[in-house]
Amino acid sequence: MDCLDFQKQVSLLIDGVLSGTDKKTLDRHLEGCPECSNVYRLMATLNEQVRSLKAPATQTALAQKIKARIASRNLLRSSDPGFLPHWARAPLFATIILLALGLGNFAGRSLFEVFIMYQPENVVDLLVQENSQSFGEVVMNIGNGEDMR
Amino acid sequence: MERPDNLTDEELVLHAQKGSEAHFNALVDRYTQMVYRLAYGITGRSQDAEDIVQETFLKVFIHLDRFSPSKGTFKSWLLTIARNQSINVFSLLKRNVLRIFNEGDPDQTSLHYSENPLIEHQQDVESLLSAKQEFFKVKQAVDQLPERQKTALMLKAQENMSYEEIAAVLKTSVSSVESLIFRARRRLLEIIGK
Repeated sequence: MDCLDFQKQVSLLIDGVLSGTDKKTLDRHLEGCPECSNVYRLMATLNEQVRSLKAPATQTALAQKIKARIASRNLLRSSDPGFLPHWARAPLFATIILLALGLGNFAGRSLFEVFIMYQPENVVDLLVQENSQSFGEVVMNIGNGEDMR
Repeated sequence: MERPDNLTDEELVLHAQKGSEAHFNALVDRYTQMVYRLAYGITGRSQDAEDIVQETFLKVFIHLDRFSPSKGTFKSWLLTIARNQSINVFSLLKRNVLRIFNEGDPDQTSLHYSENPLIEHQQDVESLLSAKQEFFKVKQAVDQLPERQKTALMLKAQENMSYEEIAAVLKTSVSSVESLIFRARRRLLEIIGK
């Protein structure tokens, strides 16, 4: 091991994680090496200085502010009638879409008209009523000049 | 019912996950200062640090159901979120701008001279002045460290966290944490000129 390796161990010693044989070996090295011994002294002092660089104390109101924000959020959540767990949201959304599509198909008719009074109208009859011609006549007259009038 | 103060972090989280606001508030009381110190250490600005603390706890509250003790301690999870928030706020651009403005501005740190035990105990004016200069020098040197080295060193020196806990916050290995802290100390000695 060279001095750089011992200095890495010095850092561990300062943090209190070096023990046993490693610590004894380092102690022996520090006794005989002025450079590493100096690094140990400087790093230990520096560590105390860094420890003392604590941030200025927070306002006591900070924790209260956080709690107030949490409380208002909680209140909002519990008073929201639409609040549902995540797993229930997708099926609910799908049901709403299906209902909307289904209701759209009623096209202004009531449920009674749709399901009780419903009588399918013949498309051909509609054509006959409109043009006084049968479906066959309409098809046969396509391209005929008379039909264009 | 047992008082929240007597419960472990993970027990408090368990109650909070079931909807107990009181137990979540106990976590807020327990960790506000620690999160603030980390955020302040990274950003160097008390107003930003206070905003970060609030946003961190809100985020934790919203995503509390994602926390599982099998993945790590609550403290590591909380500090990971706080660190990410701090990094977002304190982008590289901001840091450079702040550095320019802070150079030669000892007033920025004067607010907490009075709370510093190493300075408080200086009896005569000369020693007090020397201690203040030393304090300012160390602070400036720490501010120049890369964020990961600075965070690792602060969590060890100021919060006395274990290497394993720091590794969880930084999402790295224990040996990397050892290396980060050692390099931070070496770099500080170089900057300070010792």
